[in-house]
Amino acid sequence: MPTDTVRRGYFDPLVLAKIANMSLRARHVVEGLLSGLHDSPYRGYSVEFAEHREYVPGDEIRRIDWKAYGKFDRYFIKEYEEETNLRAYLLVDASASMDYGSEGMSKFDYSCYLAASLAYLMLHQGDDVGLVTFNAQVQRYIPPRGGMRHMHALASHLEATRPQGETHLDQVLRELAGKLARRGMIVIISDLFDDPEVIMRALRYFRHRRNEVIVFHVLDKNELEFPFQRLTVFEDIEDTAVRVLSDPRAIRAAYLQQMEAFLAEYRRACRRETIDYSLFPTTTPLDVALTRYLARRQ
Amino acid sequence: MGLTFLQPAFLFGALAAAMPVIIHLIYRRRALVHRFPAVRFLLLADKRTARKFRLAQWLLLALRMLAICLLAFSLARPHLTGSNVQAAALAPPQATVFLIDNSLSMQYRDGQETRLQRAKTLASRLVQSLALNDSAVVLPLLMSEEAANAPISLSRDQTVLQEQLAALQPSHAAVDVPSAFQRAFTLLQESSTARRRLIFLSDFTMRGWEEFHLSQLSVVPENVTLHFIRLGGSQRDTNVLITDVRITEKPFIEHAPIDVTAAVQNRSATALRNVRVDLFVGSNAVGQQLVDLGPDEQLTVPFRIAAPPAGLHWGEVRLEGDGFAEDDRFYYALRTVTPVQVLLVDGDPGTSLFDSEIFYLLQALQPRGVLGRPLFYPKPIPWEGLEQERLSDYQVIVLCNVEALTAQGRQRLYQFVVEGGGLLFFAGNRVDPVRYNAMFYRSDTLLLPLALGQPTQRQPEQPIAIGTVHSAHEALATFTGEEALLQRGKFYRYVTMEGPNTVPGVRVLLALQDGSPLLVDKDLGRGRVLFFASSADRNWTDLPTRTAYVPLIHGLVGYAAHLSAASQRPGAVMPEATRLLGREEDDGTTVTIRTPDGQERLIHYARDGALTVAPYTSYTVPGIYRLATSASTDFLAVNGTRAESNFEKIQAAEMQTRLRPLSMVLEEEETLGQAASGSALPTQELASLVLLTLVVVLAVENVCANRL
Repeated sequence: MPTDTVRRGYFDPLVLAKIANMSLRARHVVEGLLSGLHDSPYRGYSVEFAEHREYVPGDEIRRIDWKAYGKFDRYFIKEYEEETNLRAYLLVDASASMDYGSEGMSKFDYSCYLAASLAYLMLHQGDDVGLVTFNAQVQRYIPPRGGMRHMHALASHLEATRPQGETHLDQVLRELAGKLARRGMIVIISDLFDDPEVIMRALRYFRHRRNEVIVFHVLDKNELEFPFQRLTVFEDIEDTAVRVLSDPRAIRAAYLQQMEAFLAEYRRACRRETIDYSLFPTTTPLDVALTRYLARRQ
Repeated sequence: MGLTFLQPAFLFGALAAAMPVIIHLIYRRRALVHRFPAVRFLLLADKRTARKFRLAQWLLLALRMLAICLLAFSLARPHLTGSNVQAAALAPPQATVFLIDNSLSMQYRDGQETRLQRAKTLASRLVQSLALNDSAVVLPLLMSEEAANAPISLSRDQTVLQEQLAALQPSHAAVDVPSAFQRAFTLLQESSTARRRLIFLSDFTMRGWEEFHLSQLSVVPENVTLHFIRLGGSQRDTNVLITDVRITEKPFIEHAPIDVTAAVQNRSATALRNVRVDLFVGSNAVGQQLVDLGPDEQLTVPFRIAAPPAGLHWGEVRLEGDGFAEDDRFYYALRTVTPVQVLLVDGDPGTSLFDSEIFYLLQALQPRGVLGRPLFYPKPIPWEGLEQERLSDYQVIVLCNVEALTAQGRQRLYQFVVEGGGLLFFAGNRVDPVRYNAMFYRSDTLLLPLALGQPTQRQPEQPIAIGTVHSAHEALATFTGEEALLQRGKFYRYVTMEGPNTVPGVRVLLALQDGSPLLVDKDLGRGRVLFFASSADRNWTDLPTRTAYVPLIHGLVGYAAHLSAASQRPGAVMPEATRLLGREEDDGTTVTIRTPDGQERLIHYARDGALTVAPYTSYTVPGIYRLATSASTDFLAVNGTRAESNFEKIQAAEMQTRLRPLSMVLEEEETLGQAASGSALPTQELASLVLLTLVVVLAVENVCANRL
């Protein structure tokens, strides 16, 4: 069993960032996690033929398609698509505020790793996974599908997306409400820099439709701790016209108070609506996020 | 009560109080720009904390600025002076004499103010520090005779003392330390108070102290303390001065080049480079030189300029300013004239110019001056033409071997001389002594200085030469030391003159070896008459062929034409008395003197032995004094004394030696009141209090800064 130290390094977002391919990153995370968990409680069962692939040493002999051997005189393995038992939607915030990062990784990057890892895990367990990237409105909607080949589409989109524009999560959620006819799991990955009341109103709607809602609140360490020292002009990342010149040391206490109130409001509202809310500083290892998801799935 | 600083220059350090503001502005300009998503929380937080934070920031800024000001203040070493401090001492009444050095050296400027002005300011502070029962008086070191004889007494009235201070003026008089001490000690002696002190504010240059010793004083009061305050430090000060200005190449003919030489001296221990010397005629700068002067070196600085137009002129040589401006200017005056118009009357024209009586005279007067400008404009005429000439067109008339003149001609000639013209007779074979005496040695036209006797003829092989040359005479001044030049001339015939030493006013300028007068002169009215007992040509003498002939003729004609007036005008040095020289007929007349600062003085000529003089001492300031009589005007160039130009200081030990058995406290102007004890100015040091305040301010600042 890997030690805790090894696992930390393995799931460290910064370590993952060195891996170029998004799919590979997700695979690293998920397989590392699963190996730690032993058997997956969500193993699907195969019933439906998916595709043939050429035999490679190590494949089970019993899975060789002898009919195909008769026809082509070559060994093929018959693969089946596992039956989906969950439809999950990953909503990733791609507004400009997500482009902020202080530890070598932006919130958006972290969100992408998180989304990809979740997707990989879900797909690996036979669930359908859809992806929505949004800022003030829905940027891209990828409907839910199963199968590991879908992972590629999800990962490619995440890699191609650049955060920009303002956030209007409530508007996005309203827009999605029409599209998400079938109930499932809705995972929101965002910094939630919007009016909490409005956002909670939209989330409440999804809950009423018996969707599972998980909120991954991603924030940067600087946003949470406000460690600045020198006189600084703070420029709003989404609206450059808004600038504040202040001495951080003088304003830190008040800022942290405001931030704590903001987080507390989300925590309280989510608890009330039985929405699983988790705050993730971008330094949090990704396995923690996946564990939280798995716990919810249980 | 007043506040003084021992190191006031540190007060400029208070300007550093602007540093926190400047640092804030620099940091504001260099503030980081950080793109941040959670600005909305900053805005909310800023709204809450801004007022409180800004107030704290302002407080912090004020504390920091105050700390810097306090630091500068403490470095400047503040001292509290004045009546309150004095009152705290609860001392018995004291009599004080403030002796202020008002000699010329106190006009030295170390900065904006002269030392005398600073001494007055210091004395004013000292006066303010007097207790109510103290009495005092302010005495200048140098007093006019009139002021010294006026009654002086101690006073408790500060207004009176301040008025006495305000009335102090610099003096050009010679420094007299013993008299000043005597006056001060006498006043203190007369005081009934138990405590007496003399406060002497001076630069303590050596001048006046060389011969001083306390034992010279007849009155030394008991219980007297001596406080000396030195202004300007104990080191010798730098000073460059002009000691003299001389103008050569007399007489000054208008537009002719003249040489002006200024004597410049460095009275310092250090070498000076590129000292600028300017020459002015009137207010026009006409020359400039840069000179290098070694320590205590004296140089002459030559200028060659064109003489200004005929008339009276004044000018000055000026040094670029140093600390002591009083000796940086030297005034001079000069008179220039037009070339002299000379009428040469030929009594024996002959058949050609060479044979004429005036040939050699004409040759002597015609050459241009050595400086390329003519000194004389000679006009030759035959004796018959004299009647037609307007004599007032000439300054000098030379009668050469003229046989006779009409009575009208003689009268015109007499009038010409009386009104200031010059007349020069030359003898010759046409001059009949009897007839000449009849024409020119008579009461109505007494032109001849002496009555003529019979001519004396010498053998050709036994000519006679000049024996005596009165080279001190203005007409023969050229031959001073060069009398032999004249003595080479040989005389074969000459007219004798009667009673050369018996007629008053007649001067024998040249006499032959046998004692016979050869050249005599006398003043007549405002003019001059000279008689030369031999011929102007070679008939009776070979003098016209000698080197001495030209300068002799120039000297005689120049003298007759009063060319000596075309020279540097008289000068005087304050405060030494000067004697204006007049002529005999000036006796009893009045000279009006207008000083450079616009005052008028009247003095009178009076006989003093053989001279007619008008003594003058009432100088006001250095400059050009304009003299006017009913007949003429003149300039008197008055310059300040250079006796005070040496800024070598007497040292404390030597001063103490001269003041034994009394002891003294010598304080420097900059550290007045700093003496551990016995200071003339009671003070209370505030630096420690200020430093304590600074520590408190810094502590408060630290607390505020940590809270923010």
